[in-house]
Amino acid sequence: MPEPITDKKNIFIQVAALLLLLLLATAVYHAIRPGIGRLTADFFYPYLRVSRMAVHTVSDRTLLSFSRAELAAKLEQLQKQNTALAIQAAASAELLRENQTLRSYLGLNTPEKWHYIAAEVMLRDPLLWLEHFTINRGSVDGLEPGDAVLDVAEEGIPVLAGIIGSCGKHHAEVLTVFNPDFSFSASIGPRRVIGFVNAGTARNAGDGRVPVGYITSAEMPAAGSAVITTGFEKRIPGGIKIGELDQLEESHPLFSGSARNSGLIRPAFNPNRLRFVLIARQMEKK
Amino acid sequence: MKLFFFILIFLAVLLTDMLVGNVGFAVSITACSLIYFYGSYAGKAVFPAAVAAGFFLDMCYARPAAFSAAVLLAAAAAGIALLPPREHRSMLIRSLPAGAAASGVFVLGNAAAVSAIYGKSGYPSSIIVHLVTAMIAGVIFFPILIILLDALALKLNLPLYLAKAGADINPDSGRDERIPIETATRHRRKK
Repeated sequence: MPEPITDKKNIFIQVAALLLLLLLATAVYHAIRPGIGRLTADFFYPYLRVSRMAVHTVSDRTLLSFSRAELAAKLEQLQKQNTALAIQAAASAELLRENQTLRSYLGLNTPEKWHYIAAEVMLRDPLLWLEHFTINRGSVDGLEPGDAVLDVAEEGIPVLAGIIGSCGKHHAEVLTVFNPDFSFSASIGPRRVIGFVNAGTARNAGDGRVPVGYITSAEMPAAGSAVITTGFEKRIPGGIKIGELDQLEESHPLFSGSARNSGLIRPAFNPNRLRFVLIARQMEKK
Repeated sequence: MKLFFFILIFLAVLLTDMLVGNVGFAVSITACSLIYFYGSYAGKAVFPAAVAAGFFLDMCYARPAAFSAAVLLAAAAAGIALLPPREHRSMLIRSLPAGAAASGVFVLGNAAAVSAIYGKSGYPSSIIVHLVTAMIAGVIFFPILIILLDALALKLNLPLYLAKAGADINPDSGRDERIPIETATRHRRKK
């Protein structure tokens, strides 16, 4: 019969060893996460891809449940949308040509050109639902950390979803605009007041709004002003919609000594209806 | 064979957690499977496995901090603490509190960890709603998991979680440690 003291000692040693293992693993987590994280995510990539393929197959099969009249009606609707988009694209191409011609007359540099890579959202973190997600494109598709990730709003307008945080071979982690680790510049309102999203003294409201800081107190944009990207960041195209200014901290211009102000933005990016995204890559200048 | 079964089921359960997480539900099927393996044959080896599974999940999700290991460990320990004695494990219903406890501790642990990092619970609505939902899910899924895994283990001639009355509860011991039929039927007599 083992003595109770020996039993207690064994249990104590086992618990202590387990806690030490936990502590050690937590300490090295940050060091090994970039490399091992890519390996583990790439490990599950084929299985997650299979599950997406199964979903697509089921989705394709459900089309067969529609009647011919319903399918014809949907086809007509899509053809009309395609025609409208083709007209818009033709008008945009004409505007681009005119812009390049005028720039050449004035001796201005041509704006940077971007090409877009489509990707499907592969993995969402249920606990950090707003802050990040994983897509099924990686370094083999030409992605690099820092590339801008765009979503398309219901009106068909591209909106900034986030940036590529890290890349594996077949997957990439995207830090969204809700992630406090992703700070970037923004242009607010018609007077193009500059602020920095996820920076400054405003706290993350946690209700779908993100803080914006370092807004010049001398020029106070009104609530409801459109917020767009500035283009200051090399890999984020300028003029992309971020959202709307929801709230600005009140500061009296005469009695407040602060030169900068903070506020809250309501992003246009909706993480709850996220399925496909576009990654913007700058075209190499010839 | 035991180790291979353990690893294979573990990876399958981790993948299931990730697939269910894709639609926004943070479930604790991994914690429930740890309780199953503790109850069948793995014993204390499930605790280092919980740590490894937690880190694996955190690395797959690319989370900024490794908190899943501690949360899974706590959830598994809570469930194991409420496991019925071996001789009562022929009754599935006695294992339900273990599933509920593991799920509840999983939700609370995740909420505490994410709150410490980001200042919010990680759950989109009231934590109480998620706690109750998770505990109900644990009560439903844990017995289903036991039945499925026991069916697989029976095919592979591995130790089972559910001990049947009159069956040898420790086939590897070399001793005749059968569950007394009187113990297993005591509950029926009380009725």
